[in-house]
Amino acid sequence: MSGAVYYMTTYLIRRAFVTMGVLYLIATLAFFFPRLLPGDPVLLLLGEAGSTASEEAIIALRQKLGLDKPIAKQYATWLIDIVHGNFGESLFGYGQIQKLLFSRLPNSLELILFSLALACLLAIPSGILAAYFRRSKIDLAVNLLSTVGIAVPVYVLAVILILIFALKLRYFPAGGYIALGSNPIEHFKYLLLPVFTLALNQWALFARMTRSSVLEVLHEGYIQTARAKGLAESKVVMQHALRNALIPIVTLIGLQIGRLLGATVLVESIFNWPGISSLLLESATRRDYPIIQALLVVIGALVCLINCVVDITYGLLDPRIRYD
Amino acid sequence: MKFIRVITLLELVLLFGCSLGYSQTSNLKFGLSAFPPTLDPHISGGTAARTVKLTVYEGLFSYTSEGAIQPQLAQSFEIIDPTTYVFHLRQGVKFHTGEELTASDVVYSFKRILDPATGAVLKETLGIIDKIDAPDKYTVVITLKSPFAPLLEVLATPEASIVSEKWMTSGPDLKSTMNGTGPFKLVRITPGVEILVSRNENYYIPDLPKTDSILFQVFADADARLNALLTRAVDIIEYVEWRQIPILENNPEFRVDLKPAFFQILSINCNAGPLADPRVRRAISYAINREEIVAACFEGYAEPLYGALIPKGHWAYNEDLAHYFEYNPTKAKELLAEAGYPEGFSVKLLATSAYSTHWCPAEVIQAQLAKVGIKVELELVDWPTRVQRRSDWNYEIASDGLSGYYSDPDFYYAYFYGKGSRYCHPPYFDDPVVNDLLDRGRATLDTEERKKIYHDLEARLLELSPWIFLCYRLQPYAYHKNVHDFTQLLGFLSPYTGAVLKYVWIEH
Repeated sequence: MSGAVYYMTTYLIRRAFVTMGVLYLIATLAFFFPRLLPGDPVLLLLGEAGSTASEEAIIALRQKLGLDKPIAKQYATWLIDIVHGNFGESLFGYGQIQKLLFSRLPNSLELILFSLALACLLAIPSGILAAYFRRSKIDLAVNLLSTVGIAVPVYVLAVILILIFALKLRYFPAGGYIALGSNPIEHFKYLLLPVFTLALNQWALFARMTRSSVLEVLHEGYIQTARAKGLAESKVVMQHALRNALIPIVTLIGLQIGRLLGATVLVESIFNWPGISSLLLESATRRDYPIIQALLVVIGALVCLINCVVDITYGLLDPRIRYD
Repeated sequence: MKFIRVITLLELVLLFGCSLGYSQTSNLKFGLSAFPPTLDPHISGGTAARTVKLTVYEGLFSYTSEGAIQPQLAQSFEIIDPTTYVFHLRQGVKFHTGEELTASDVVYSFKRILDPATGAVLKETLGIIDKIDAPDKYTVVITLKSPFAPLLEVLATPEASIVSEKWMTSGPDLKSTMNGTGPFKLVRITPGVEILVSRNENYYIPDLPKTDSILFQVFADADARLNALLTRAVDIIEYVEWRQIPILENNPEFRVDLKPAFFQILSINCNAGPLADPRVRRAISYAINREEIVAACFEGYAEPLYGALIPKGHWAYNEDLAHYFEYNPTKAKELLAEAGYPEGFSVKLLATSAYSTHWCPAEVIQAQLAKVGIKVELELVDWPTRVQRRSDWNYEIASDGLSGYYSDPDFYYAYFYGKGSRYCHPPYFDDPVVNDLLDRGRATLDTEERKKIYHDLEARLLELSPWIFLCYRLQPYAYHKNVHDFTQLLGFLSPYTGAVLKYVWIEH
């Protein structure tokens, strides 16, 4: 087979093995780490009402939940189960975890991808313009706004947006969720404010990144060459500068998706948007072990996958990058 | 002429449309603070779970909006002798899955509660039952091992619900399905998000429930919950925070229902050094300024407790004990000196960082005890750790917020009887006088006698102070003015407020 395909294939195979190893490590940590924390979910299940739980009730419930078996056995059983795609059941009434993941993960991804898309759509042009018209009013505006976008904490922004657009103007609901299937228009109405909240911070990061990448690239030798060759200015920017500036942006997108999978917890909580980030927080707070384990593995796997995709995208963007 | 005809037509259309409006379905939306961890009718699961379960499951008795007991599935009853109760069931009551309620379902329900494998909350309390028989299809005879005054109150609590033997033995998933005799039946659950119940068309009381459905939506964040009410996304919310009450009180669209429900205490490890001496424990109680705690931690939305827990208005209330621990740092220092600690001592106070109702009093008390020479080290942990440590008795003093299981003074039994392995029992507290009073209190049926017994019990508990009673906190529910006939149940019955949802209706 051709050289590039050969290298790509061996690269992917090696990558796959490494990923398997990483996932196994994540799974092991995911299993043992929550159990290291003090706090027993059985007590929480029974004692929640400040009620009069007796020894017998505690033992009975522990048995029912399978938490009385030796730890090594629980670990082995769980590993075998997740390999078969069976993530088990929540201790706290959230049901089959697989079903829970299927309903909640898309919600988080929706939030993340829409906000990233919105942010990039606005940030790349903003960044290019700011770089191109360096030290102009455009550059100043982008600079100022992006500083605000990075400095303002997301929960402050969320509260401000709710106050203005939900409580005062009544354009959007203050929080909540309606499934896409049951009412698409309402679904997007509920999605809009949370997406906006996340998008501002993302926009700020991407706009700055774009600006500095484009600035760097604009001073490279090959840009001068392109101009000397008589290439139109727009083509200089779009075909050459942008393409090379995209590499750090792609890295950032990959990193941000990974980060946001865990960091959307504030937005999800304030807007009552049922995603996996708030689920992870709730489950950790209650020591709902099966959910914590499942989420850590799933998020770990997603981050590995995204890193892989990002690395491959580099190759497409920059032929100089080889996989050996 | 034509113009007038058009106007008349329009008016008729409007009138017709409005009358249609009165016959449209009415749906109540309720904002919960947490998702029910289990829908098993015999396991507790917290207030949110009870609110939902009370719309679907019923017991032999239930609570009215005024907090009185009324016959529910038991149409009538006779007390043959102090240990024998005969209940006559309502006839023609159907479970949501269609089968009729009969005495064998009642017998089965109690057997399930008493089975250790179930993990039922009432297993110990109902261990007083000697045997249950069903002499015919609609009669149940319960024989007790000894007289038990609070029996009917216990039977009205949500964890004494009657379930269908046929359905329960078929092994249903109790986290996601419910089958009761109640005014509503379960329609769907989205885990972590919402639960929808709708009218039981075959409900045996005509005209109930007053709404066609209730959608319980979970808003874990208190501000998100409030916003949902303010934007009318929901009609009623529970667990309003005190700082949010002024927003609601200043808005004529909304009502706030504030009633004392949970109480805050300090639970003391009666084996921990200086704390083993009741004089030291009483000193701590005298050194605490409860008014300050009410002001600092509850913004005034609490009632200080200078005596014990039986509230004013209750038949067993003790006015003479109501001012026992008025703030008196001088007396505190005297008692400490008497006990051999004139310079004070060091002690650790456990509280959870999860609830301000727990850690705020702890912080205030730390400052107050310093004035009498007691140096308090605060241990702030997250909720599961706090629960674990309480259960292991791994603390010296712990801050807590609790409720009684029922308003009969026998509620003290669960907390103070014997050695108690229960997580709320004050560690190493086991007083024979208290035990004897608790035993006699529940076995006596005469109200006057019981009044005396519980007076002596409270006096003893105040004298020994294994718990220091701080205050009753006011529990707020908030709802839109179009919601009618919603009342929070008073006192310890507050978590059972779900029982009144069948009476609630919305004005359009």
